Amino acid sequence: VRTVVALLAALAQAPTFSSRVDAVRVDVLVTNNGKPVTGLTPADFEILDNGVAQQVDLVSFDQVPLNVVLAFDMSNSVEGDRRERLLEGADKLLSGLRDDDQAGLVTFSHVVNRGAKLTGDLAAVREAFARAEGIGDTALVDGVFAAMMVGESDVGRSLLIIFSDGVDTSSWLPSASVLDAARRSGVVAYAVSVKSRIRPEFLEELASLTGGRLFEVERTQNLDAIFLGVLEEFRHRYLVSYTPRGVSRTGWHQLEVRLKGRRATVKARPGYLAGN
Amino acid sequence: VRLVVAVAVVFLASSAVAQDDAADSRTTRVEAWLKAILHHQPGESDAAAERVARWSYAELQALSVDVVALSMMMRDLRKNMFTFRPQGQRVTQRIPYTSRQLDRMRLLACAAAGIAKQRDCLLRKSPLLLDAELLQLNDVVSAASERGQPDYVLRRAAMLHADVAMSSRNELFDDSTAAAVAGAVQRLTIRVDDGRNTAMYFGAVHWDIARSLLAVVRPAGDPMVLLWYQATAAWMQADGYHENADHLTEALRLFPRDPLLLFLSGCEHESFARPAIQAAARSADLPPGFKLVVQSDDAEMRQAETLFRRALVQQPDHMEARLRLGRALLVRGSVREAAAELRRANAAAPDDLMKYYGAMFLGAAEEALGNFDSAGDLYTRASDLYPNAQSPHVALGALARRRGDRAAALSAMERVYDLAVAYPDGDDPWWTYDVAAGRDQKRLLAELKQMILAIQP
Repeated sequence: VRTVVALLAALAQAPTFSSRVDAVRVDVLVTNNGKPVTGLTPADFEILDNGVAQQVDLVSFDQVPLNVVLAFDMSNSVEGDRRERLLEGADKLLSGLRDDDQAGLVTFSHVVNRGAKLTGDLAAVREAFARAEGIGDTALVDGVFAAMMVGESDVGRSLLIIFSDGVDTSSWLPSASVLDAARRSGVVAYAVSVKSRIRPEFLEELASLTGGRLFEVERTQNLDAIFLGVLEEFRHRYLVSYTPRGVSRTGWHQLEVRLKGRRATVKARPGYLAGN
Repeated sequence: VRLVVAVAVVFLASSAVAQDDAADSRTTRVEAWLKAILHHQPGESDAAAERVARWSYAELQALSVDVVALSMMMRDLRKNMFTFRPQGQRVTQRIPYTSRQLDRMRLLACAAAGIAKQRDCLLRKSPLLLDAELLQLNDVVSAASERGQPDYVLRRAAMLHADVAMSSRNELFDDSTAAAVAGAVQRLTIRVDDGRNTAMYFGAVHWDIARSLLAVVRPAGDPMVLLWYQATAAWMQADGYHENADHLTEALRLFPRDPLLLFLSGCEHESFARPAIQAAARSADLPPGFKLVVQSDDAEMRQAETLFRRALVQQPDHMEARLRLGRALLVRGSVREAAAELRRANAAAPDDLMKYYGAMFLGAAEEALGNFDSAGDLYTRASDLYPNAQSPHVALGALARRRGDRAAALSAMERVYDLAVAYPDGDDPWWTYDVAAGRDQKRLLAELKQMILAIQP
C-alpha cells in the first residue's frame, strides 16, 4: 500500500497547477444497481481524453488515505438546532475516518475561517467545530475556494464536503472563477444544501464538474447519515490515473470513462482544465 | 449586514375608498396630527413623534388619505370633492366625507394654512372653534408665510414622518388587518437576513404620507424638498432600507437632473441586483394581490448603469458614480469599458475607502482582461489600504492559483485565515459596499434639520 500511495502522491503534484500535464488522476465511482462494483483493474477501464483513448496506468481502490475537507456554512441562517445537527453530523463523519486519513475544517459566514488545517489529529478538528459560531452573511463561494485550497495544501486524495443552507450573499469571488478553479483541481466535491425555492446552482455545478454529488435535504435531522453515506461512497471510488498522450497540454479536456465489456454506471468528473 | 427591503409591492386596491366610522375618528386624528407637527422638533425622537409612531397601520392609512384632502383644502377652502391617485396606481379614487367631517376638516385646514384669522375662516368661526394649540399652529404658519416660507405644515409634517419612519419599527404584517384597510396603497416591508425573508411588516406608510405632502409644496424645485429626498434616500441606503419603486422614483420625478438622487437611485438598483435581495425576492411568500417589482439581477444592474451614466452627465466629476458605473459595467461583462471608467475613478478617488473599492474593482477588470500582474498589484494596493480586509487576499489567492503559482496561492490564503482569527468580526469594506453609498446621510440630515429650523418663525 505504501508504494502505491507514494506513487500517487508524486503523480498528484503535477496535473492541476503546472502547465505540464504529466499525469491525470480521476476519481471514478462504478456502480451496478446502486451497488459499488469492486475488483476492477486498469484493464477494465477505458478513458477517452478529448476523444483520444488513453492507456490507464494505475487503478487503486480503497487504499489511498483521504483528505476530507469540511466546508460548513456558519452564517445567520445556520443557528440553533440546525447548527447542532451539523456538528453532530460532522462528529459522526470524523468517527468514520481511518487512522491514516486526515481532515480539515473551513467555516464561513461573511468571514472565511480555517478552523483546522488538514491533520490526522481529529480531536483538534472536533475542537475547531466546537469553537465555530454562526453569525453574519454567507460567503459560500469564497468559503468553497478556501476549502479547495486546504485540500490542495496536501498531495493526498481530497474529498470536499460542503454544507450550506442559503445562497451566497457576500463573497468577493465570482462563482465562475471558483468553478474554473475546480475544473483545474483534482478535488471531488459533495454538497449538502437545505431545500428552498432557490436552486443551489453553484453547488450543483461544482458537484457535477468535480464528479461529486449534490444532496438537497428538506431537514437537517439526518445529516450524519448523509455525511457517512458520502464517505462510504467515496471509499468505493477508484482512483484511476493515466499519462495523457495525443492531446493538447493546455485547455479543457473532455473526459469519458467507461468500462470495457461490462454494464455498469460510471461516474467521474466530466473533464479537467490543463495548463494556466 | 442585515437588510430591510421595503419591497416595492403594489397592492391592487379595490375601488372602495376608506369609509368613515361612527365617531369622528378621522378628523380627530388629523387634529392630533396637526398638533404633533406643531410640537415636533425636527430630527428628534420626542413625545410628538412617539405619539404618531404609536398609531396603528390602519390609522395611518386612513390619515394618508385625509392629509391629501387637507392639503387640497389648504389651497382652496371651498373645495368639496376630493380625489387622489396613490403613487404608482392608475386609478383615481374619491375621498368621501360627511358634511360634519367636511366642516371640521375645513377648520383644520384654516389652522394648517395659517389663515384662521382671515375672512373665509372667520366666517366659519375658526377662532372660536379651534383650540389654543391649533390657533398657535395657525400663528406659526402665518408668521412663516409672511417671512416667505410657504407650506410650513407640509414641510414640517414631512420631517415628522421621516423622523418617525427612521426611528420606529413597523407593525408585523397581519392578513386580517390588511383586509380591513381598503383603499390606500399598501406596501409590505420584507426583512431580509442573509438572503432569507425573515419577517414581513406593514411598511412605508410614513414615507407615503411625507411624499404625498411634499408633492404639493409650491413652487416646484423647492430646495428643502430636494434636501429632504437626498438626506432620506441616503439614510435608506445606509440603513439597508430600500424602497426604489416609490421614494427615488418620486424624487427623480421632482428633480430629474439632480446628480445625488440619480446616484443614489443607481445605488439602490445596484443593491437590488445583489444576491441577498435577489434570493429574498425570489423566495418571498407574498399575500395575494401583492406584486414584487424587484427585477432580475441583470435588469437591476442595467438600470443602475443607466442611472450612474445620467448622474455623470449632470456631474462629470462625480467620482463615486463613475466607480459604481465601472463596477456595473464589469458585472455586466463590458470589461474594457469598465476598466477605463475605473481608471478614471481611481485617479480621482478622494479617500481610502474609494481607493480600496477602486483598486479591487479595477483589479477584477484587469484580471478579466488577462493583465494578471496589474491585477495583483491592485489587489495588493487594496490590502495595503485595509490590511485587515480578507477580500484582497482571497482575490490574490485565486489569482495566484489561476496563474499556477501554488505557493503564492497558499500563502495568500494563509493570510485570509490569520485575519479571521485576528479579526473574527471582520473589517472589510467589501462587506459594507451597499450601505457605504449612503455614508453622507448624517451630514445631509443635519443640513436638513438646520434648513427646517431656519424657517421656524
